[in-house]
Amino acid sequence: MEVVDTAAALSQLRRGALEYCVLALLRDDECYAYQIVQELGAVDGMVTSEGTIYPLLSRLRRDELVETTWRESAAGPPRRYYRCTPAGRRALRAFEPEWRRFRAAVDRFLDAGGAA
Amino acid sequence: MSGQQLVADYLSRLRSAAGSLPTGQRQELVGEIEAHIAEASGRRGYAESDVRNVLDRLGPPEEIVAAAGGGVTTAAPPPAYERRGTPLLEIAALILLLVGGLVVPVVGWLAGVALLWSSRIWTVRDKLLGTLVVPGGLGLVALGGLASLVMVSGGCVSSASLDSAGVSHSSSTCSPPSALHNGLLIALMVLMVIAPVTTVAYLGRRLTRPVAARL
Repeated sequence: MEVVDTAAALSQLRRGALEYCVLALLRDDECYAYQIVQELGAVDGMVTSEGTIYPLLSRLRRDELVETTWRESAAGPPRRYYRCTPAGRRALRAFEPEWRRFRAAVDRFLDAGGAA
Repeated sequence: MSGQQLVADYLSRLRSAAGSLPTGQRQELVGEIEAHIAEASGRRGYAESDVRNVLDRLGPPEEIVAAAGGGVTTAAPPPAYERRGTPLLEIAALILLLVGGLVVPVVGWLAGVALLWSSRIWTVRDKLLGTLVVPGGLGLVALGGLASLVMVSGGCVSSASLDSAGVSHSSSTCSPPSALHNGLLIALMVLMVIAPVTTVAYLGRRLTRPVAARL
């Protein structure tokens, strides 16, 4: 497969990593959707289209990696709060070492290429 | 366009783009996006510049729906369908399978088999079908035809014997083949012509199905 389209390749990588970033946000805390979107959007390069986070959250819910609770909100209508399930935490625990290994490997090649 | 009009417009685009989603999912998604917009700009009364910012950051409705499509948000993009030019290898294979055996007995057909198995379009099942129905293609049928012609017309038995005087006599007794015998042979012949032709036609049709590109 020819990686000619950088944007497309990055978009794939982003999509793959995004759900783990969400799980990481929800590992120890409870957040509502808008909060999650804000936090992800605050980090440069993480999300290109904030709206796509909502389908992602739905999928994580369907896959039972996160669970939700509705809570009353002083600021307006009830809010849906998300948090990790044990399965979600397990998935995150499995992902972390793999990701660090992968990232180190890619960096290594990129650095070696630069030094040549 | 006022802020609220922009919102209404965006949500209506989202609703229609999400038409392919199951109803529950679609309603939930639209509801969540609506709540998001309200939270982001509702407090300042949907000021136009606020709304524009929020909608920009949300991204195109089509992209959001694409992320929801099939329920797989981390999926790789759909496999590219490789539209090959004329599948020359496969056409050659089909020709050789069918009539290769007529032109160069055995070897011609075997060449067809080799090409058949080296194709990247046909599945293993296709290839097995092409090899086993009928081995030899029409070449085998021709051979069989010749053989049965001999049997049909020359249903003769020759015998040579020495009589008591040491003189050799040869006689042949010809028994006309039965009608049933003939009929069966013809039926078999017809079948053996139809089978490879049908197989080749089937394999030809299989060439036009979309094939996922090998990445």
